[in-house]
Amino acid sequence: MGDTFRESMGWLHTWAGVVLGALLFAVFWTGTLSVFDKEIDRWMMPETRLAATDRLSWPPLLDTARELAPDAPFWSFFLPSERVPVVRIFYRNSAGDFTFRDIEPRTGALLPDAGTLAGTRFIFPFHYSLHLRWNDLGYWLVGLAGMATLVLLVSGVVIHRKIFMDFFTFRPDRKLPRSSLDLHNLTGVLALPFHFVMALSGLIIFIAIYFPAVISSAYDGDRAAFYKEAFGIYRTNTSGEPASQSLAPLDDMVAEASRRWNGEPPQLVRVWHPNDAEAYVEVRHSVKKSVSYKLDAVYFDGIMGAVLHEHSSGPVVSVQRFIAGLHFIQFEHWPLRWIYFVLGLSGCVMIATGYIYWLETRRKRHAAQGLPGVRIVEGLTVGSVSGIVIATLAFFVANRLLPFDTSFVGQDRAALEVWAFYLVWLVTFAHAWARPGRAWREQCWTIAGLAVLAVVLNAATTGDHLVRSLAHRHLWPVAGMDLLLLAGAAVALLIALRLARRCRAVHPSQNALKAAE
Amino acid sequence: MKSPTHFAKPNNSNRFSPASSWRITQRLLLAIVGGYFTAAGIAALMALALSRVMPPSEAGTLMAMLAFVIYLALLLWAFAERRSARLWWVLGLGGALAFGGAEMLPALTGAPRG
Repeated sequence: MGDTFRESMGWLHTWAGVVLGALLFAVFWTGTLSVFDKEIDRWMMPETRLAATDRLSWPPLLDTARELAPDAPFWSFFLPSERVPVVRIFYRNSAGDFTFRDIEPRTGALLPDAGTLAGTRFIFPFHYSLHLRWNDLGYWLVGLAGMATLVLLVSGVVIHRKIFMDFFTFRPDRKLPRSSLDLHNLTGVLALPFHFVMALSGLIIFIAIYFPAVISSAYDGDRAAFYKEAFGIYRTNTSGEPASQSLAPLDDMVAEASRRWNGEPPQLVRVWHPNDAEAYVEVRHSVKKSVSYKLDAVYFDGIMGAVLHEHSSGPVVSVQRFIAGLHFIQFEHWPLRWIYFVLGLSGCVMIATGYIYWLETRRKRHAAQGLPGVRIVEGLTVGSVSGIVIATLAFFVANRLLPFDTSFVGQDRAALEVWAFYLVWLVTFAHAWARPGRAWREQCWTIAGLAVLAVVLNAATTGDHLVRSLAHRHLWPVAGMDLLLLAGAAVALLIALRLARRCRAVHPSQNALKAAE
Repeated sequence: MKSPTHFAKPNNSNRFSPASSWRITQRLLLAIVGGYFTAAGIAALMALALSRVMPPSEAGTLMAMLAFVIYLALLLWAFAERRSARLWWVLGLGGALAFGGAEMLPALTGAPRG
């Protein structure tokens, strides 16, 4: 692939980047948005814009669960937090499907079905599975993207001659290949540790999917045994007898678990076999107070309230949980959350400028030799960079436009929003290939328009306009999202104007001709 | 000042001929598929060995995490190594032996249980 190590790495960097860049951008973009997935939820699910509370009352919650899912094998209650002010109950409905509803924590009142997958169930799972469930295909594609990121980062460092200089070099006034390469190096080198850690930790979260043979080698292929030991999965069978007594007070179990964790609160309370004499309750550690995404759990006898089993991870699994927590950032730390967001965006810029550099260094030669490469890759670039941004904005706008209980050709409201995302994304690719040269500018205009439209629609349909949302603490997630949408619109507008100016500078005669027509 | 655009410099030699496209396909397959099974095989064998000194869940987790690093090293090497015969030896035969060995060994020796 080259005569020297550096040349080989140059070849690898170029081609892995061009072939996998579109996939990488989709994963980086949705990952960056997932930093604020719960805030996106508040924006897209207006009925969950509640004031945060620590107080919750179990008896009405259990009543609601009993009404909602009387025969469910379990009820999982995710307890409210600053970022998620509702209790979210997961259960299996009568059709056997895994589903959830949101509950007002103090009254136990069921909130209306949101009719959207929003941030936590569309954008976040897209980041790690692309929503391709068939044979875990999406997980493997994202895993390939993760390994490719590591390969690209290492090979990118190898092909540098002056890596230290690149910290300080950006020459936006130079010709496009030069300035885009500067920006590619700047974003790549400055955020290099972040990108490397994110790619590796993202892979390490899914060790059991990516390296099942390694995981199960010591268990003679018995993966369930591994899960039980490493992650403390504890299960007992039902007795088949209905419970003669009601459940022991869950408050006491929560308090006992918290006492064992030096006062740290739980985040999940799961009641197993609620109606059975062998009912038991699983209380899981909070992931909000420490970096580690802990799996520590205490299990209680549901009727008697006695502790049945306690799990805490071994040292290596604790390291794995720390690495996972580093990636998930479910801990409460707003400055770090914003830094993750900005570094994630810098990764998106790195991929986009890498593409632009590839295109601009080949454009003249491909045109002269009649090669189709630049044209194909340019469409791919536009569709995967500005296209996915437009698709995301279409997802938000559809969320504000579709009335409750809409359904169309058998698809419910949540599915229609997802259709809007994918169809608009497809259209952006078609547009990019159909209108080379103009696609960037036109898609930037579209981004600016859609982002402003989303802000206006949010104000019009929920009444939480910026003046109001900035004034109320519990509406800050909505205000933050609106402000980022406006900032994104401003950036897109500036780019569009600059591209239009350059276009006039490059083709003055064409424009003069047009003006004369 | 030296041109900073020394890498991936467009040239006229990257037109594909059948011979060069076979060379690239073979290298891609050996790197991505062979590299994966080699990394998984080495890590699984080491997990098996380590499970004698630590709980198997810990050994498996440790080596599954390190497997990504092994895989990364093999991927980079696969594109830097100029002799493709070596790739066949290490990533083809070596991978098959390591992965196959890790799959067979517990059955032959009786898996240690934690």
